[in-house]
Amino acid sequence: MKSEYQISDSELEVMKMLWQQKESIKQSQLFQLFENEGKEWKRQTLNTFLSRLEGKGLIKREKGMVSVVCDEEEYNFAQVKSAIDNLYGGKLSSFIAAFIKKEAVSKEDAEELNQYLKTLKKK
Amino acid sequence: MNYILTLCLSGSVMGLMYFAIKHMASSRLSAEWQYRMIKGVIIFYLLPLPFLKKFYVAALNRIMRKEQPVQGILQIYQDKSLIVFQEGKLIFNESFKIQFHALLIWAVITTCVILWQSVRYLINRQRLSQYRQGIKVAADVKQIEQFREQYAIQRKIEYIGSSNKNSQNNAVFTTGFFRPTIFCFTEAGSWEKEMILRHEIIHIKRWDVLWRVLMFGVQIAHWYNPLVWLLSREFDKVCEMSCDERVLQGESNELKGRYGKLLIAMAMGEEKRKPYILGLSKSGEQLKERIDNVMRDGKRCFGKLVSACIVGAMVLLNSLTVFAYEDVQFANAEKDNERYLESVLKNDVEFIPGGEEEVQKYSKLVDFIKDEIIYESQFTDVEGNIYPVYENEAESYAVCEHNFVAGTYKEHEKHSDGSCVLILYYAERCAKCGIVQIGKEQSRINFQPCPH
Repeated sequence: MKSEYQISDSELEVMKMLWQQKESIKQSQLFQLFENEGKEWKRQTLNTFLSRLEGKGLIKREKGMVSVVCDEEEYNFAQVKSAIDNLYGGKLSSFIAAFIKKEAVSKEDAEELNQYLKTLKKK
Repeated sequence: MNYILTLCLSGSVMGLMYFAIKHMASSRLSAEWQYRMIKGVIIFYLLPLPFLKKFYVAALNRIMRKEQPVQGILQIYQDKSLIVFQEGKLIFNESFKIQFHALLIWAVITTCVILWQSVRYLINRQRLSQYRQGIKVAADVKQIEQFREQYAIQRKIEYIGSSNKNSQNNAVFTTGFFRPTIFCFTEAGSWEKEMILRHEIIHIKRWDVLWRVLMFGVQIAHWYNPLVWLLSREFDKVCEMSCDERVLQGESNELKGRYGKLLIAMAMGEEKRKPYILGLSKSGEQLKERIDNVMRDGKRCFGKLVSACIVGAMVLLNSLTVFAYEDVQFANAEKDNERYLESVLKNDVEFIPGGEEEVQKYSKLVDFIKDEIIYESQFTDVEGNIYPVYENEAESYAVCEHNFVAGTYKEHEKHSDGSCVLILYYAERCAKCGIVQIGKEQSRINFQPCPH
């Protein structure tokens, strides 16, 4: 999953429609759903949107079936990740109280600290 | 600008005292009290307390039973700020203008930085709120409400969280102080999540985010002081350590150990240790210190009374730095006394605080004094006649039936730097033999340079 997705409003509409479906959907069914909603898109237009979304890694297309790669929550998280990164451990950390600094220690440090903690517990 | 520098002095002295006490007390001063001390440091860096100086001076005068100084006459030098009132206008001397320009530059830079950072913060916070609906709010909302009741927090607390396993990295933090929001993106278990949320609730209860912003304000206002940057790191560390203490108050060693493991797990990143680093990294050392504090036996710390006395003494001692505040002097100028005004603005001058009446009285006195000094020591009677007074006239003429006339005895002393002092005494002079009896000192005036 990317850190942030740049998608247009129309592409977002397509994603929201896909998220509403529980499972993969045929491209023709997807087009029908938009038509029922009164959307005046041509098939080619929808195809263009789907191609772009596929290029951005948000959907997968196989044998005429369209499925989402990440759910809505993951997508929203990706969108705010840079905002979170700015606040948490970034230059805006003056405006927050963090439980722990972001990625404060390496794995080796963590192992050493765990060993140290064990010795403290024994005392 | 003098106020800014004095604030820096006050805060720095308090900061140095904090480090000294922390070093001397070793591990016997709890993180909670260390945190209170650092908050005191922040206050001294940000809050000007010049009014305390007057209070201390008055108290000292009372204790030492010191007489009030001679009324009305003070001396200022050219490097002190002066504001003159003339016909409803304010006129400033060179020293005041220089200080004011320096203050202006400092204020513009400080305001720009604070505004810029604040705008960036608000933009990022807005982005987080915008996507709030799309990020599922976990069942932890109920837990937070319970904590709100337990810790008697009136403010409404928002919660944005996700336990989605695809969430990259753990991110748990609180932002905002009037409407705080807890952001919790982690895949921790239920007990761990409870500890994390309790930790964040305590931050909210203690207004830690506000103190963090104030610390940031100190960094911006006193950016030129390296101690401030050291204190900022210390603040972050002590804030979290004291919060850990509150979370684990009364808990068993086993739970404290679990909490320590949680800290390590949450802090772990993907990077490997750098090959040229032996032992723990700097962050690792800081986390180790935090773990030490978690596992420390609270009974080994000073009690509340001792800790309060230490902090109280520190604050009291540091408050004496208020004597560094230099007051801006004010003076009233007579509207037609241009010579006086020019002298006041460009030279070291004497002036008197008070209203028009005092200034007029003093101006006449100064003119009188300036014009009527003929001898180094002289007696002036009430009619304005001036008589020299020589040292050998101190001998008493026993045969004389003295006829004393009241007047003023003036002693003029010139100094090597070009200044002088004129001391006036109540005195009497015998009209027959000329002997002068000198009484109480009336006033003492310094002139820079000597106008006589």
